[in-house]
Amino acid sequence: MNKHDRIHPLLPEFIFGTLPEADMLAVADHITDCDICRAELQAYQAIVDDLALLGPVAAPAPDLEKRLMARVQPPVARHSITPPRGRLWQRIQPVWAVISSLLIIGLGISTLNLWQQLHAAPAIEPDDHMQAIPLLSTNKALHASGFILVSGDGHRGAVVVDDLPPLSTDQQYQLWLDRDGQDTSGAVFSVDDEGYGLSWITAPDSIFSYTTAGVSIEPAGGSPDPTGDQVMSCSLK
Amino acid sequence: MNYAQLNDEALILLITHAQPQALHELYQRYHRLVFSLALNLVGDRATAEEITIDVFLKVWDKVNTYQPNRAKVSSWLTSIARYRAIDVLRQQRTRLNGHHVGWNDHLLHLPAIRHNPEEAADITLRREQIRHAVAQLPPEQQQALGLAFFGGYTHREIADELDTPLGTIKTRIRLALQKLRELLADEKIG
Repeated sequence: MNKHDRIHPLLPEFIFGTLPEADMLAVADHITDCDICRAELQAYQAIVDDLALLGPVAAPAPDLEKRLMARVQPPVARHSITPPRGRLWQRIQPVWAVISSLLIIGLGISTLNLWQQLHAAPAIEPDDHMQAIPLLSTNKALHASGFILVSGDGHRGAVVVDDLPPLSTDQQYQLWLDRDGQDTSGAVFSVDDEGYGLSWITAPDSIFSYTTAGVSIEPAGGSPDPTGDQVMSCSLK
Repeated sequence: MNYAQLNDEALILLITHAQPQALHELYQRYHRLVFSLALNLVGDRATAEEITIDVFLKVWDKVNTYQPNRAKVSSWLTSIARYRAIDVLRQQRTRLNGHHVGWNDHLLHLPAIRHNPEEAADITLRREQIRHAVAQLPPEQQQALGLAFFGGYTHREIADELDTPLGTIKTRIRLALQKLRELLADEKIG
């Protein structure tokens, strides 16, 4: 019996959390390599999620959140975070850390290789004022996700995207900042084979002075005004 | 910043950056689901509240263990809650003679969780679809699945409890999951 044949029957118990620890670990290890088991496990997970909706719903004591927050470690003690293994997370989380540090100290860098800087990044202190604004995908890029990260004063920002369709070499994505119907280019960027892209935002005014942001497909080098399909957008208010 | 407008993944991102407001928002969205699931499993409010606190503390302390390519945030929370509740049940050794909520309890209760009207309507519809799908399972599959899901029993314990061969229990649960998968997929398409 090969490993798959041994692990596959364990999937239901894995999803219910009733396997012995050694078997739990064996399944967890196996599904990182086995597409069949991983797909089946995801299907089971969806069912278990549904079943969790089915039970009677009750509310805990009103003071439960207060009791929770009393046990939450103060933010100041948390600045060393190990990135998890997920792809999107693995990418965005350290970029977030680097960007936040650069936004905090106010470096006016227009281009840089953030990944090269990752290893030299200092310990990150939390910035209570920095904002992460999720970008919503349109039907032109259904699986895309991303954020606009903006410093507290609105004068420094970056756009981070994942799962945007890679473009031909004569096209690039362009970030637009809209105010009163006037579009201002904030960034022109490309994505890699996995749809990941990152760019600093340059704008003449505070990013928060704009109403919305959008990402469209434009000719390489960018356009004076939006001409192509919009793939992502968000409100800045 | 209006945290209520952020999606779950954005909140998790902010929690890695030690933003308590993000944890507060996540708690507001999911504490009833987590608490209810825990209560259904352990049958004791005080214990269910402790489990709820444990779940959100784990989110805060171990946020780097979340893998977005593996599960939705809500799935991650309910998984933590289930595993923690099962641990508690085992420690208390109360399962076989203690509290157990069966399918009938769940099929009869369909109250609303705090959501906006559109989400509430979606959840109500989904619950009805799930209830309908579970009702279509043969009674012996419902029983085995219920003991596994709501009772936190291992397959071996279910086999012993029902005086049924282990292989039969495994088959019943696997078939139940497969049937639900088919039925619920059909419902989503429909």
